[in-house]
Amino acid sequence: MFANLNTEQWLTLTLLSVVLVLAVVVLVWLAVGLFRARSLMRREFSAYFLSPIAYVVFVVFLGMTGYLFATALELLTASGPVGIESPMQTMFAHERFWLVFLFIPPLLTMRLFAEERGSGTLEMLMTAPLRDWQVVLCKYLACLAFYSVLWLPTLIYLPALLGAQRPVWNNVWTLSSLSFVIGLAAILLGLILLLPRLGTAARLVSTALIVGGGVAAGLGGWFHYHADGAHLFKIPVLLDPYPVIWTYVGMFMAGAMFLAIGLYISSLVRNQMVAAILALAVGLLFIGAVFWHPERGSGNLLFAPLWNFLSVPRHFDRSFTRGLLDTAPLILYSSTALFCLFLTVRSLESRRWQ
Amino acid sequence: MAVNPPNLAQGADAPRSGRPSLFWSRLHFLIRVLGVTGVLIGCAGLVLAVVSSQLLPLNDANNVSDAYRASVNLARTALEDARVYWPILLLLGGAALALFALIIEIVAILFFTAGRRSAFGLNAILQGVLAAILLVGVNVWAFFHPLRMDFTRDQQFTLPAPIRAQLAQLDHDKKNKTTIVVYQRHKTFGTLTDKPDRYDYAAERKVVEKVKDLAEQLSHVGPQLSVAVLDIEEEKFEKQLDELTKDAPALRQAIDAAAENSIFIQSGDHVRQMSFNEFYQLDKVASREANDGKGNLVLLAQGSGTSGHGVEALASKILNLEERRPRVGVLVVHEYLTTEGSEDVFTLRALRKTLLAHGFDVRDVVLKKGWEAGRLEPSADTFEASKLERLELELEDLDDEVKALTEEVKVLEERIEEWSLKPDEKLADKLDKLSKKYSQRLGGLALTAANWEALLGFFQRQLTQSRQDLADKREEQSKTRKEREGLNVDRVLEARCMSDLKAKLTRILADCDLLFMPRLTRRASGGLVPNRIHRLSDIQVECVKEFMEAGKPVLACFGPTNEPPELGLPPDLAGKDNLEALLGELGIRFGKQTILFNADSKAFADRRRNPLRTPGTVEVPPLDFDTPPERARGTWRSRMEATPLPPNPLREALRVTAHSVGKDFDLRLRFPRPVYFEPMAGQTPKFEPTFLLTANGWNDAQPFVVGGRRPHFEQPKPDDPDNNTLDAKRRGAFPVGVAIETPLPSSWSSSGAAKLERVAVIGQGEVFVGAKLSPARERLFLQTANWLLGRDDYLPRADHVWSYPRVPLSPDSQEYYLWWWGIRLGLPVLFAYLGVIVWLIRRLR
Repeated sequence: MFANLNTEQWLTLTLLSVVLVLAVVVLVWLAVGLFRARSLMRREFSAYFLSPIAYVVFVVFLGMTGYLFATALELLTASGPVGIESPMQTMFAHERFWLVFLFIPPLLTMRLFAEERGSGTLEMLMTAPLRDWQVVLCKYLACLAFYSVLWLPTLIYLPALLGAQRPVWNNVWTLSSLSFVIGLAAILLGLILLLPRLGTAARLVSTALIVGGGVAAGLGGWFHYHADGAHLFKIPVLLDPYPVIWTYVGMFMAGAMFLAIGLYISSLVRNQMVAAILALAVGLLFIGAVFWHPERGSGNLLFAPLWNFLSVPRHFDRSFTRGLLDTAPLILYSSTALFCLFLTVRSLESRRWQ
Repeated sequence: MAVNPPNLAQGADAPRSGRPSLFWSRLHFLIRVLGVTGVLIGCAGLVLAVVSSQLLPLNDANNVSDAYRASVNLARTALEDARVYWPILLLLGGAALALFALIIEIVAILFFTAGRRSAFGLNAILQGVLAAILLVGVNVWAFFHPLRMDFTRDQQFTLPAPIRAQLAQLDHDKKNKTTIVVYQRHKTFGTLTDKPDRYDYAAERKVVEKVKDLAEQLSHVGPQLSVAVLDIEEEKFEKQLDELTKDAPALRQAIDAAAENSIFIQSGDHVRQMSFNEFYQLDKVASREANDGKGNLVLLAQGSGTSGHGVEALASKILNLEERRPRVGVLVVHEYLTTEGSEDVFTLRALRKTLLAHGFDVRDVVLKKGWEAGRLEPSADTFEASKLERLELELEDLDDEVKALTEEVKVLEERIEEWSLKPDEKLADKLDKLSKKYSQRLGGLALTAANWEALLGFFQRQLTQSRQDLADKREEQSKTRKEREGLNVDRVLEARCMSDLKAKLTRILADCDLLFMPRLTRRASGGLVPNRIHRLSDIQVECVKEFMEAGKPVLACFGPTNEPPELGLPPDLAGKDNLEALLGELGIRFGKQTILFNADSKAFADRRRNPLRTPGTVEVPPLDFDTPPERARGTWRSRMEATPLPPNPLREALRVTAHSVGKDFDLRLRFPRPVYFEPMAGQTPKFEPTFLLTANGWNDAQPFVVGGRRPHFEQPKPDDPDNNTLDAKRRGAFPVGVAIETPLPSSWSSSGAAKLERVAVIGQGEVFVGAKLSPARERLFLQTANWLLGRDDYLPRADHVWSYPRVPLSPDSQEYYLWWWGIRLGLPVLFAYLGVIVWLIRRLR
């Protein structure tokens, strides 16, 4: 995979690595800050499950993905010369999916600040012993967590879409497999410890278990499953699983961008509807490009590469759903999300000096 | 940034009074109204300009500087012709107003941020601007330096490292840059079947997709390769084509001539074409049988490589773009039988067209002369030389005829002059004079006025006819002369000076890479050309032998040699055919009979019942590419001794092509001749020698209706001398084509003994004859030629199979319905239920 890279690509990779290291440092610092503001995050996250809009989003989203799942399943079991190479492409590169998706981030973000502004609770929130960035990140992460939960039911589709067979267990106990299993157990224990209200010390222990378990499971799993020979646990699949992995990674990153845009717009206005419509309009910039085909009409092809660069559905059509990891869209999503979060913090700050 | 305009205004006057002056407030309001109005006017102008197609010049811009120039020109035109271009003026005016307002706003913001109380604001704005610059910068970098990592299970979107390394070595020079054009003509398998079905269409869609993927991968190799996709259905096709072929006329010519979806590789003046079929080929038979008979799309990746994605097929063409075009030497005995022959029933014209279109050169060699005089002599003339000889003889004849006709006209003119009545002459005197002069021709009768008039009219009509004939002959003479002038006479004459036949033929053959020797003996319609006229002299055969000793391949298409006794042809006294004997030294044996099929038998019966009936098309069964060829071994013993050999590569390639088309692969040979291979003592063939096999038929030494006999199969008598030989009468499939790779016999020159020779023989001389060649026959020749030339990677192959993945769920099963309804309806309903429960709980509170 890396043997084919040229100098420029190596430079890109190096730059990304530096950014990654910096990001880890910043993330640790942010994690500490977020830990202090966890009650706000919990409140924001649970608020979604108490609001009817979340269930409407669930029903519409699952209705659409269910319809696309049925289409993909039909093609995977079809007779004659029809079929699909990647079911993820059929589902998530489809224009209909993006038409529905366009509405989801605005629906999730419209209330975040606009509601607080409209009802006057923002002033109260600002008096809490929290920094502006903590407030913004708590709301954002809660929203992102809900967005991730929205995708969880779609994991049920995978056995059928990948042609999964009966799981295979093997008694292969090596250092890496042990590390993998112990890591998974630590994560589970950490999650269980989070459930009861046990105080700060217990929470720190559970966090350490989750993080440490994650690292152990990740490293152990990587070495175990990249070694030749039998593996501890395996689910044989007929179709390539990598497109699925990268589709979910891509969806998470794209969602992070759209939610950050929605959050920023929500911080600018008082009315939830206005926030939703503006977020929708900005979202159209990234999604609407898929409906534009300059080569078919009389449009100019000069800006076609730019449109392709901005078009999120096209990223999924050409890259993620086919098992390709393209750095350009990932950079677009993450940089736009960071930029919007930064602007949201500044937008909140501006209330102080206006 | 969220900065409220009143504050901006306040900031502007803050140092003086803390509140904006009334004048500034109103001016600022006015400027803002102007700005918003400008935006409105600009939008209206834009819409009107688009509707009236006034912005079309901007569509032709290919880069930013083009767009700028086009915009300036458009603005200038609008200012000069305001009556027509008023929407553009509206657009420009609106934009100017909006820009003016924007500048004022920026100035106001600067004034505001300069204020002490706005220190936070300035800081925030600067941060925002820096963040925006960073956002744009990072994304511009990402846009121009994309990195794509292929995580697919079998690396299907990655060029294999060796190919990538080889492609990276291509010339970076702009002049010699390699351009790859993916030309979508929406006709992929059209050349082989004129009735495409849903498998063909599905294959076309998928192959186009795969070709585009490959093109995308190639575009990432580096600046030395540029990739363009042209789709004939796109509106911008013509414009893109013009732009692309602006400096590449050869590419334009090739694209214009392409009949199906193709990839063109161009560098400088070199252009090579590759059909999408050479990249991925449909296996229609396997497609129909796949998925337990329910069908799937089965494609076969082409090219010899390990990627299994057909990449190698294209890469080898890119890397060998400048390789020499192989030259096929066509050895025939008459100019009509050449690839430029004018007679449709004998010509190989269509073959020439096919070969030229697929990167071959063709050279005709005419091996006999003296046809006109009836004294055949061996020769080694090119088509031009043979044609020149014919034209010269024709001209000689024409000169004689013109001379004779001129004389005839002169005589007739004089006669009419003599018979015509002069102004001062009396009719009676004239009649008397003529009666006396021509008394013998008039049979002693006196010429009457009526007779004189009739004869004079007859002479005049004769003169008119002769004049017309003379004019026709002169026209023909001038045409022939012109045709002669069109030939490179000097070159031909120079070659003619070479009297040594062997040296001449050797020189011609040295330029060729492959020899093709067709012997048309029996046409599908039944017409006969005696085999004896194709016989070569010993010197000519010696030249062919030397050609083979040099390790160069040969393709021979020899039709059956049987002749009907009732034609009364003199017995063939020439003895053994020396060229057949030469091939026999390599182990190739020609059957003595012709293979007939039931359809032939029926046609003969019809013909016997009605001898005046014109011979129509008889549809004999197509060649069989699925039966193992060892089943067609001639003798019982050879069948018993039959050891399975590796499959014949040429037969495998043809089988892939036949399966690609399905049952429509129309390769039928009427009146073929069996061809066998018996390896030299102590040698085992590398692979099965037979590559063409007929359907069930029988071999007949008299394949004609003779007297009362209609050809039909008769069991051989026990004492038949042919029993237990290859020529034994039998019913079954017959080998009619062998393709071998064999060492040259040790009796041949020592230098060539160690070399392996590729030879292919087809037992039918008409297979490639005609002004039109069926796609199946085209493929037969091209694949045979490519194999003979050692270009094995050009042959269709079936070692990398691609098909759509299928999951083991039957659409009729309960499990399938559970998935279908559970996901499509169950999950949304479950979450709707949860939503209702939450709503009810909230109402309870």
